[in-house]
Amino acid sequence: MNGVQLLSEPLVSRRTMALAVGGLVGVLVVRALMGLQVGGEPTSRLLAEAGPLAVLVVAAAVTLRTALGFERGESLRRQWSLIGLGLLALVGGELASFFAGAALGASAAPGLPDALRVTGYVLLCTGLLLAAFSYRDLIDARVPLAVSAVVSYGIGIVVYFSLLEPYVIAGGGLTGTARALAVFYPLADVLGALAPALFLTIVVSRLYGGRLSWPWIAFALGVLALGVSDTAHSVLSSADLYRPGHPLETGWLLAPILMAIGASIASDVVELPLGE
Amino acid sequence: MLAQEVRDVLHPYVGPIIADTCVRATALSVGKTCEQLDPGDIPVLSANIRRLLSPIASRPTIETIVARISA
Repeated sequence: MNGVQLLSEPLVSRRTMALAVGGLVGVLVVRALMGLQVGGEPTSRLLAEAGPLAVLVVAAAVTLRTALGFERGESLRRQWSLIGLGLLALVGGELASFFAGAALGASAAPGLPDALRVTGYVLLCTGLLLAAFSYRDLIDARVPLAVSAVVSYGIGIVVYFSLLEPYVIAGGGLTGTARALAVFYPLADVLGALAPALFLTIVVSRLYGGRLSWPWIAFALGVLALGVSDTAHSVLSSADLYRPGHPLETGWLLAPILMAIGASIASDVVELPLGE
Repeated sequence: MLAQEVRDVLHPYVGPIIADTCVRATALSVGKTCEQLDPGDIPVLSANIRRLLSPIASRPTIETIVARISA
């Protein structure tokens, strides 16, 4: 048997289980090393940079593998390819940021890292929207679209006026482009990633737990974790309360793992058919 | 009853509502009620399932579903 036995048939592959267990153990180990200050601040700083990057690389690789597993011309191949390329662009953004930081001693913003991150958001958003609209012949997408738009814009307004405006814009901790980016990223998370992820989640919730919904639900949870961590990071940075090793970084580790699990489950649906 | 058997095959993948949508769409297209569908309608059912599920499921998954219905 090449899958893990759940109920009466294997529904989740060993690969997916390994991602889930290995990812969780990895997050716990990284958090423990940082919490115990093993190796001092340089190690904490390295783990804070390399940990999220490593899991993002895994998420991009698993997602692109899933995309290429679908046949040419298939709708799912297009959706997962866009998402995978979006994650790859985010990896590029993090790498560029890492090397810019190493070379210049501080992150140069805005620059190549930000261009890659914005490209990543656009691709991710497009892939998620394509996935949600692929259900239009089966489900009336108007209500999910309206609900997700109202909720996301509502969250965006709350985030802006209760967190970004008082702490980032008026707080004075950041200036110039650094301040603009500290406002941009949380809003991009909410409007560019969370909104389409929520739209997709509401759409696939109409499958009432049907197997085709599992990949998207796991992936949407990852997007949610990313959004929460990015927003918290912007607010804490502006108040000068953020230090490498802060608990908010758990979200940056968990988000790509959840995304990778979602992409892996999408492959499982094909590789482990029911009733075989 | 064929309609219920088809719903039972589709249900684990797409849930009860979309499973019912696929069956009802087929019944409508052949001018029958869901209960009146019979084995002679399986080719139309299969074609409808392929058409409706192709944007959201892979070809192997759809063919697995169709094969189970045809069996």
